[in-house]
Amino acid sequence: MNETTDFDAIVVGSGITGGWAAKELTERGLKVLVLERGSDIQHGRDYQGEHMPSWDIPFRGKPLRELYEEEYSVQSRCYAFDETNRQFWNNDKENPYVPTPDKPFMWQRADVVGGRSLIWGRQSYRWSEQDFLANKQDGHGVDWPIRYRDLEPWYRHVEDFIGVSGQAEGLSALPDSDFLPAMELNVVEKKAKARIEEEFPERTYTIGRTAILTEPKEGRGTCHYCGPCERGCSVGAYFSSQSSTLPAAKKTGNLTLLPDSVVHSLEYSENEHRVSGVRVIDAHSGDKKTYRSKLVFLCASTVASAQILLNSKSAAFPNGLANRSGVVGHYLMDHAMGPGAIGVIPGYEEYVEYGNRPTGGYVPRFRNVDSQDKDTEFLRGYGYQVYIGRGGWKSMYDKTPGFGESLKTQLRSPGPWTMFMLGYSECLPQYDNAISLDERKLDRFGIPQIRFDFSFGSNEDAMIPDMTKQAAAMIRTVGGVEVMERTNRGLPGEAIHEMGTVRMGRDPATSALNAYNQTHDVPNLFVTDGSCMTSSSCVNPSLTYMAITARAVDIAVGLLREGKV
Amino acid sequence: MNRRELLQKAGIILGATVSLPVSRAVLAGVQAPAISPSAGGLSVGSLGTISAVSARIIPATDTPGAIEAKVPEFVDLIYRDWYTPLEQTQFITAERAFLALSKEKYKQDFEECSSEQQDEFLGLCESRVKEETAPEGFYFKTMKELTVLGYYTSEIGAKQELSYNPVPMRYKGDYLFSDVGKQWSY
Repeated sequence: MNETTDFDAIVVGSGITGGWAAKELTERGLKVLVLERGSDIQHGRDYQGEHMPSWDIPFRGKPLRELYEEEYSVQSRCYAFDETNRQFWNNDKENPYVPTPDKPFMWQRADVVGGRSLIWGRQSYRWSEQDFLANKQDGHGVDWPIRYRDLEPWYRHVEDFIGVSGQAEGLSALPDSDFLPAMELNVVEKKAKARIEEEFPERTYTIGRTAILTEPKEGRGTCHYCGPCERGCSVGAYFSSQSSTLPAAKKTGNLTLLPDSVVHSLEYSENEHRVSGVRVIDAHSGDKKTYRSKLVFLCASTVASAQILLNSKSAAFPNGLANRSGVVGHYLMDHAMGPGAIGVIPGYEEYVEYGNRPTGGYVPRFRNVDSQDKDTEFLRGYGYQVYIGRGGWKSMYDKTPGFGESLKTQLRSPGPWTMFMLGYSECLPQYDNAISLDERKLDRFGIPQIRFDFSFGSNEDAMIPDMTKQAAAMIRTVGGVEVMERTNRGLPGEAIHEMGTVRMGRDPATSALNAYNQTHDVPNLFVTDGSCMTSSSCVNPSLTYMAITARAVDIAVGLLREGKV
Repeated sequence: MNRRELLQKAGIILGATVSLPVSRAVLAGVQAPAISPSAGGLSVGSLGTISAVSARIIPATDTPGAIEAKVPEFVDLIYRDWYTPLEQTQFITAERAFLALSKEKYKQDFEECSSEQQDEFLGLCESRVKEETAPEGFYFKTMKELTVLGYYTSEIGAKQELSYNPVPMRYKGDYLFSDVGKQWSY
């Protein structure tokens, strides 16, 4: 094996947290190697589907069924997957995991530089004080070793760099960010906000908080409201590693980024009690190399970081590196997404939206806030992503009888205003919800494949009736008719908010990471992606991952300079 | 639009290699060759039928219709490269039933019928969309779906029938529909 020792730090993964780790480490003067298993995607140049007109999209957007079934059976289930951006996504045939048809888990992921930062939904919410206290208060999961005040300056640090547009609301359940100007609510959303807040004083309707620029920022332009963000955004209004963190890291001159570099495992030195190398396989040639550095940051994603640790076995760590606690791979969580309601809002037919706003509305958690509500039979809570808009020809034509000139005339005007509320509920941490490695099933690199064992629990189930009932009540309050409650929930994994497999905690016996995201067992190893999460809140987690990563880098570099790692 | 105009337009849109034999053969009244569902694209006869049907579903009015927007070419592409062999067979079987029923009713081929007769017959087929034992209903539903998709995603559909605005540059949540007059193409 070839060996190189030129780096102060190695970051595994170039997605949302890997990009942040790279930026923060390089800006502190460290020489950094970023290892990315996927192929390179250059900002702008490789966004082949951006602004692609409908007539150029293969089969006008009809799915390539045979190909998707054969090679993208998991990824093609995602709303953001299609022929305009298929090159960003994992090929499920080339990079499979063990199928568990009786207990499916949909692991939706990219396989390129930038990772899921290229295709994420951009919703950016701070966690609340209550989110960090929840485990301690109700006894589910271990206590977080950090509180809101520990992250608050790092939220601000991240927000100032990425740019989060939104409206300050002053809520304890959803702290305000340091916002860019909010995008405007549409005419029916304004009515919805007024009616909901009047009828339910403890509830709020606000514009979705989104990592899309409404003002220019450091080489990035403002949103041009074209619509499908996930095809790539060459002006960089959309926050991605490509548009933001990787260029910042590159500017320091301290960054080396290697695509097509699959991390097999970490090498542990018993003499030094530290990670001594990162074992890498070239995705094309199969060549093996070990890279060496003083610090290692795992930012490979919740599932992949746990996989790397579990696959890093040694005499000192027979159950996987930094896993003396036995928690690595366990306490996997994903938001339970789906329950809510839909209805038609009559009137306002003289209005349409101009431009495609890249965010919907949001109704923050209003259940069990500060204390347990008397009328709930579940712990913690949920929030709603809300869509209010007019249907286009695609959703109208099969409900429009007839053909000929009358069909054309009817499809020339948009459909009625529709209000759709999609609930996301918190998921409690459970030991049995886990990933493991199947040593009998190796992937093309010889790495044991992942097996998921996950199901939502009784608390997540208990929230469904309330999520549907409250959504229907709010839609009716806005004047909605033909209101339908939707109880169906996405499959586990489909919220794409998986987290928790390498959790933080105060006690090395029951957690893998300390309050600094440093593994309890190995001082120069840090894990800062979604795997570090001790509980799940009900809000979209990426902003918190970024803040945690920036904070961990600051602490790690301090420890390094003090000679403590 | 009469049958000759329709076929001439179909000839333009179907491309030189296909169009000349298609339009010449049909214009000359040559019997369409036997349909062979496994042989790549749609037959000459089927292309004539889908041109006639799609032109009634989305006719040219104050804006161009399905023929100008190359809908028959799109249906042919879906048939050839997107349908499974089973779906191809279902499509052709339904088309045969559709043609047979129309011939029984009007004593001439669907393409030969007047626009009024064609519309009357398509209306009958639409009324049978939900009947599982009525292949003409299935044929209508399929052709309506493909025609609408092919038309509104075409350049003509997006830019002339709808309002095309790929880079709006701003967002307004209370824009007056009367200021644009047509729905957005996305």
